[in-house]
Amino acid sequence: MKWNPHQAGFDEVFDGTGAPRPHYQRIVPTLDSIGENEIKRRERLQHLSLLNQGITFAVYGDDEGTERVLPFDLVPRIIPNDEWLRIEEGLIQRVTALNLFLSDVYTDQKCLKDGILPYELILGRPEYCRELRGILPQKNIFTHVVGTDLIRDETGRYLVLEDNCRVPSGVSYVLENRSLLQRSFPELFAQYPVQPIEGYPSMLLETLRNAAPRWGSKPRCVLLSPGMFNSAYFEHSFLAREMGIPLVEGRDLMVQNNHVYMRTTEGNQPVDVIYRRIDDEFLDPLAFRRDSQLGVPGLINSYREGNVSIINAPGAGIADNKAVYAYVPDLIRYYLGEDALIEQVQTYLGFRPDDFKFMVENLDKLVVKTTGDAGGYGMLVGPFASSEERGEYRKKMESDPGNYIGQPLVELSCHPTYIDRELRPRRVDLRPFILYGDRIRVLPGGLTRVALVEGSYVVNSSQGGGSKDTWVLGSRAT
Amino acid sequence: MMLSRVGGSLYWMGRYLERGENVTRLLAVTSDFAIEFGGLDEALAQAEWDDLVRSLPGSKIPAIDFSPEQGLAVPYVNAMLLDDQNPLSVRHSLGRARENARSIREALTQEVFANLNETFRGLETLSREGIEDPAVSAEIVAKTHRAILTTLGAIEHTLSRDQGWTFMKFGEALERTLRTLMVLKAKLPLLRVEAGSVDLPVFYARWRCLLRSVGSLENFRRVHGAGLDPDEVVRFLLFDPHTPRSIHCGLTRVKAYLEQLPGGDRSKAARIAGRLVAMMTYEDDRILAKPDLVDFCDETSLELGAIHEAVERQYFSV
Repeated sequence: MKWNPHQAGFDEVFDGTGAPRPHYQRIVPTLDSIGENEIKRRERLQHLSLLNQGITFAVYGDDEGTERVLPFDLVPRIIPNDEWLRIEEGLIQRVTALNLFLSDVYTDQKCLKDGILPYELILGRPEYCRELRGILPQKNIFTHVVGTDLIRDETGRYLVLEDNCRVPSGVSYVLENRSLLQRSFPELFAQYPVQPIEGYPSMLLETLRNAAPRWGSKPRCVLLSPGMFNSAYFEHSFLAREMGIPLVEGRDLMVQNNHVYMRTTEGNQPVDVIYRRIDDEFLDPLAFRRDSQLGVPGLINSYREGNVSIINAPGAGIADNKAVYAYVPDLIRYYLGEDALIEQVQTYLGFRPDDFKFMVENLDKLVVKTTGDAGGYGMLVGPFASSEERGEYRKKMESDPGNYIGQPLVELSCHPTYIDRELRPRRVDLRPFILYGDRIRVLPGGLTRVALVEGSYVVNSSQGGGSKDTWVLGSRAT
Repeated sequence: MMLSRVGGSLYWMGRYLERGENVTRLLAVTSDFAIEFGGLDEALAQAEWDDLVRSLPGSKIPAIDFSPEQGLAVPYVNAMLLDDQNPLSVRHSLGRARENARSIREALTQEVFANLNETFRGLETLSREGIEDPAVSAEIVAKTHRAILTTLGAIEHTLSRDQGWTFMKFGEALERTLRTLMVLKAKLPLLRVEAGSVDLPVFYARWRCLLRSVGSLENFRRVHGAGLDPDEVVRFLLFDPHTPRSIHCGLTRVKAYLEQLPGGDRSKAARIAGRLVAMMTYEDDRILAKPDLVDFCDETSLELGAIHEAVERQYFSV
């Protein structure tokens, strides 16, 4: 097996001398011993298994048929126990602070009054639901499920790239990747104490039940999906199946007297908790977008009355606004009196005139993003854009400076990835999943996304990204 | 308790799977017959394919361009197995079954979905190339039939016997009864007229073909032996309570599943089914005395349509 050396950034597997890092020392010779042809054979079986099980995502506007398999790479990413404990602690701290922030901005707005954040950053944003001011969700938890994107800089330091506090996706691939790798390369697992992850659906269901408005009886939880044409439909159906709860669409629900019901073969049945996988603006045509066919008319009123819990709570999206992101270290200090345990990427804010000037003058060196978008939309990667693209983007920026932020391009870490019978370095990130139920728990590992195209920084599945199984080692590991 | 939408999808999944299985079986039986008689009597072989097309009203078969090397089977198999434009092709039915399954995967098991998905994807891949070789054609029909039966086996052995199961099996029973009625309607008039007027080998072959078309040849022989008396065959296919594709058996299942559904003891659909089962139980002589059974097949099909509508209104409409 040929292992190609990396060119730039931090190498996850090999140190500066070209030797495998301690926690990769057993896997390199094992893969070598399996042999090229056998690896190729198993890789084909993996692909077939994903197709037959229908573990696919939809690509919008693709004529080839709308279902594709998310490419799976067979070389697992390994995270040593001590390294993981620091990540876990940092994520718990971050999610705690973000929830305190959300409770605050939807009630007293102390952080604004104390000048931690400027008013205009929050109150003018569409992700801030002013209709919900004064309404707190059960137990003051807004973000029951968070997916935080982490990257590693040249020195291997973990940085938070963004928080996903709305409807983070990808956890089904985490679980499926593990079961796929276990079946196709069992010998890899014999050598490492890999922390199990299959308890996630149970933890998620516990999280949903913990958020229920009623006590005593067993709350009825449902997963609300936009339907099978959504790109993440496989995940919706997977999670509903794994949790054993109904998967519903907007048309399956109705609101009567401010209570939510689902339409069943035996009449309407009450619903207590909705794990929604649709965005705020589509939830309720009476409260938000009137043209939404996906939502449930009257849902927000029912939520306001405390009759139903919505997971994550409506309005939580303001916490992952990219301008708010720049202030998260300040928020952690303000609410918890601590320094942020995981650092983040330096961020220039367009609404500050000096920052905006710097951004415009250095567009060729920066990554510029709109503050409210997620999933890589509305983004300019300056160093790779043509001067025309930068010129056009600049015009858009100038019409609404406050809507933009800029960040230096961080050289992502690389991980050997199986491509054309060789192991080649490809850039990776990491999305751990954090659940906030009776306490905050982090699923060990998370989704490692990998940019399969040589030289690419884009790990998104819609743009040629793949994924890897991610192992967190138990404490007895090296 | 189950979502109306999920109940509806399971019902349709049951119907489409059954339809796919039926058409596959018809293709296998007709191919065999047409190959056996192709050299001896080409018109007879062609007539058998015509019967198949008539027993699948609503199917769209393109103008068929025959070549001597391919024989009759290859173009029909391409049209009835693989062509997605044909609403009664196996590929179309399995595609719809799979779409329904995909929209309610949480109500199914991994085994059911994976088997169905694999079977559908196999046909999808084949349809890109089409079939050219008659030997390959027979093999693919047989393989597809096995794959569908595997999916039905996964349903039998992995799904919980809950309300969803009842909806799916109700759909299957209703579709199966309809399909048998359509085969009888297409084949019986001619067969009954011919009785006694044709060659004995051909006569036997055609009645055998009818029994196989509705998956009942072996079951019939076990009861009546290999002597194919037309009246016995007709009586068997209509009234035998045990063979799974007789009309009596199908209607009894339809009624039993309807009664298991909520409010099913007095639902409109269950009452229609009850009336049909009583007719099949007590009025066999009256039905058999009719000069032709076309009216019986049409009337019973219409009653099944009324059952479908009543169930749709009571359980699925949102």
